[in-house]
Amino acid sequence: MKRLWPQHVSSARDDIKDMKQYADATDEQLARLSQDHDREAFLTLYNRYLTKVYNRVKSRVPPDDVDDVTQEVFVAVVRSIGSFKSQSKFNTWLYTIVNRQIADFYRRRSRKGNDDRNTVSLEAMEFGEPSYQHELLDEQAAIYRAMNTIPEHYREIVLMRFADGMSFAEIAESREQSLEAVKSLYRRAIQAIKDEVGEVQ
Amino acid sequence: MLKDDALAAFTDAMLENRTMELTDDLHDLEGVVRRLNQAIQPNRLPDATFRARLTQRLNEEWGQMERQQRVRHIQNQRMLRYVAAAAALLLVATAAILLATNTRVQGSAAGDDPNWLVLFMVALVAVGATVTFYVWKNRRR
Repeated sequence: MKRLWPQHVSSARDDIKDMKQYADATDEQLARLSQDHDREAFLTLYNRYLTKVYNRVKSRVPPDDVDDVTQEVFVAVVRSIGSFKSQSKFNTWLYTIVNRQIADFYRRRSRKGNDDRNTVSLEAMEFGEPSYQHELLDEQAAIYRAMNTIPEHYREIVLMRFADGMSFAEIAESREQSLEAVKSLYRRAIQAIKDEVGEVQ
Repeated sequence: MLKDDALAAFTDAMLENRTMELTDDLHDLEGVVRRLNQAIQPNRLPDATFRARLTQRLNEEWGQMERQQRVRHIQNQRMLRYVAAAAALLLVATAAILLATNTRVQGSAAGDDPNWLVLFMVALVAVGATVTFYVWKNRRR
């Protein structure tokens, strides 16, 4: 029986046939195929973004909870892939889900009355002396708090460099800004984190 | 401008495991960059066990979503059949009533034409109502 695909799906499918490889497909093409229940397309997207999402979660959530929050992000992506609009950029949509899941994580913690954001697993941090560990853990917790507090445009530029591994030139291209503007924004973002954290040294 | 370039170059060097000295006026930001690097550890990938567990969980979630889609598809098909049957029933009933009425008034001056017009109108309304109901039902999902 011939199956009728929505027009945008047919178009993405034809493009993929031409390319013969999911690896060459854009995020948006893969997202549209995923909307049509193409599991291979979804797994390609998942493999493409796992490390980036994992790094983004690591920057804002204590180490013990990183795996769980990352898992919740991808489960939410599977459940809501149908709501992805083909006009949007996939990574923008994905990072909105990351932000929402992190916010949900902290909301759940505060509901449980367990908002001990300074408490992070010593084992997970893999540092040396106990006193040094505590000192570092306090500083790491301060970084998580700062990353959750600074304005979105500051957080995004830091995450693009550290979590996504983009160079400043790539960030400038992606944001359609000059390299100078991006570096300036980055310095102001780091300054904002410092202001939140207080004296780090 | 120089400060922006210097901090960006320091960040690049640190992420590439190169050493680089910052000027005194940027020394206070150096600690923040180092702490960020320690917190995120961009070069440390998710471990294989976690990846395997996550992939399995996503496959389960994907399977569940497909099952739900199939059930929804079947429900839609079933609804379509019910609606078609109801429309057909309505048409037959209307036709029967009109034919009975037509038989009673046969030989009158009114003739057949007005009844066929009524039949056509009723059929049109029935089809329209059916389509509207079907669209409304699907929009609620």
